[in-house]
Amino acid sequence: MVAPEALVELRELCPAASVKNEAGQVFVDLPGLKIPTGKEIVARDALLTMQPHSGYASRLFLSQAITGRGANWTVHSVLGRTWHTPSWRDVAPGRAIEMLLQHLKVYQ
Amino acid sequence: MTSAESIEPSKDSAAARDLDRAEAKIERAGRDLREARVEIGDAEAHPRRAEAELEEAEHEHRHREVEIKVDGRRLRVRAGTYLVSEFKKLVGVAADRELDIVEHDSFKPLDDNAEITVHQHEVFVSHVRTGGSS
Repeated sequence: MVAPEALVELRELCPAASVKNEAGQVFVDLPGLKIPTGKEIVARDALLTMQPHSGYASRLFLSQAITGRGANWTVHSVLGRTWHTPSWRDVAPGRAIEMLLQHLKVYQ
Repeated sequence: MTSAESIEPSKDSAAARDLDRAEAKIERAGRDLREARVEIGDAEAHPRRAEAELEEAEHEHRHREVEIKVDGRRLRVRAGTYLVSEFKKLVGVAADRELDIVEHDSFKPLDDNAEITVHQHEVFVSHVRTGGSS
């Protein structure tokens, strides 16, 4: 479950953010999310889940991997689409935007 | 002689009139000069006054209270430049949390020792410093 106020907060970063479900797993769809990578800002469609998924307590999936950033990328199929995500652990639970920013640290 | 005697008083009165007119002109010129000096003084004082008013307005603009958002909370703080660590104390963000500013639909982490200038309507998000590759 993603609280409406959490979605409002996420829309500061991604105006088209919305909530989606697949088999009881809740995802926040973040189309065109702008991701700072240190030298530039890249845009990717992204999916955040704040629930356990594929052995991690939460995950952020991207429509395409970011070359030179993150380690141990894996490919997943979610909501009928292929997604990419690096290994990134120890993201503390909290508000959706808080968790998103922690996940994005791997690209800085 | 008679005619000469009658001419002299007339000459005297004409000269006296000329003198009066000349004195009046001098007095008028003196008055004009004083007025001109006052005008010059005002003209010199006005730009300084205008500058002072402008500086005062700029000072008030820089230090006015503005609304910002921190972790979804609307807060009012004085506009201006802050050290990030001091700003975190001001807005109630714990020192061990990282503070980011949301700019142009993206975010920028703020170093505790950097300076941040608050204008108005800035959005800040804090989060714990965690995460690591495995």
